[in-house]
Amino acid sequence: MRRLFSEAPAGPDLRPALQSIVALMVLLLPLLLMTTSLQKRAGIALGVPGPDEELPPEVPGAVEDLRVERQATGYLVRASVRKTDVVGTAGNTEAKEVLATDLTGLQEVLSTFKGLDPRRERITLVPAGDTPTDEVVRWMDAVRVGPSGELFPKVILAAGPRP
Amino acid sequence: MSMAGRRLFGGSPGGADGGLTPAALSPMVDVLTILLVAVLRTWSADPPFQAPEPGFTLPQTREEAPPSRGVTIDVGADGLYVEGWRAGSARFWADSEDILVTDLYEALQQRGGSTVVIRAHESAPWSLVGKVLFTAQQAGYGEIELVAVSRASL
Repeated sequence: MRRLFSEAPAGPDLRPALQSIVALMVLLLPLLLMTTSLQKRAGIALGVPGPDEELPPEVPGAVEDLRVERQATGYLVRASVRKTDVVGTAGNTEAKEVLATDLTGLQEVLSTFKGLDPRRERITLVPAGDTPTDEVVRWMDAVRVGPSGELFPKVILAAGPRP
Repeated sequence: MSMAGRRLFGGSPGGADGGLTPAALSPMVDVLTILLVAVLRTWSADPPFQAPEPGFTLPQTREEAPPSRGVTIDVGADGLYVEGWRAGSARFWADSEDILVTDLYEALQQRGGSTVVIRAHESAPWSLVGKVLFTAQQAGYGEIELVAVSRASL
């Protein structure tokens, strides 16, 4: 007769396997910590043409030109937006200027332009002469990805002579 | 003497296995796995970063892609360096009205290549970094990267 509440049969002994994993980790961790730097460096590609080159044209869309200038009061977004959605009307644009006081505000403004032209990926940043590099990098991060998703991943830094 | 005092080096009361039950080992394996993953996320085959000047700090970014290999330009608070060799004065070129950094231009043309990697001190002004970028463009480098410290670092 079988017992109603019998104990479950003892399973395989897991201790040797677990001890092997722990031993492997204890060996791997110091080895990795000795051979690696805890500071991970990242490369931010800048879309810049050579001296005799031009950037490839963007996919035609509602926003023909988009640039952000660093000013004393914040970030000034300048955009050339087409007046109509007819393909043949390229160049028939309306200039728009919006000032954002901080990076969060800038992301909101750029989200609006992204909504107008979802296929656009390029944006030009024009830092001021006294803008420190860490601020430029934070700015580039902010225009690439916003809280609601990707914004403009191809960032061009205006480095040449000002027009 | 209490029981705990007498059994200083003895096994656990649970048995002769020293308390190494699967239930005790599993959290340890979990912790070590998390540590291993965290270390592997920041692991890089690149040589350790050697700052050209004392106090040289890279800016921080959300990017995680490793930097490319190419000619390295360091923009410090005091000097401009190409592959670790001083090529010019940072202060002079930051204040200069010239856009092309001729010292750097000559050094870059001697090196050749298509990729340049710029490591700028976090407080280096754009008036200087922009000139360095422009000079690299003019020297024929088509691929330009700015190096920063990823926030994924430990």
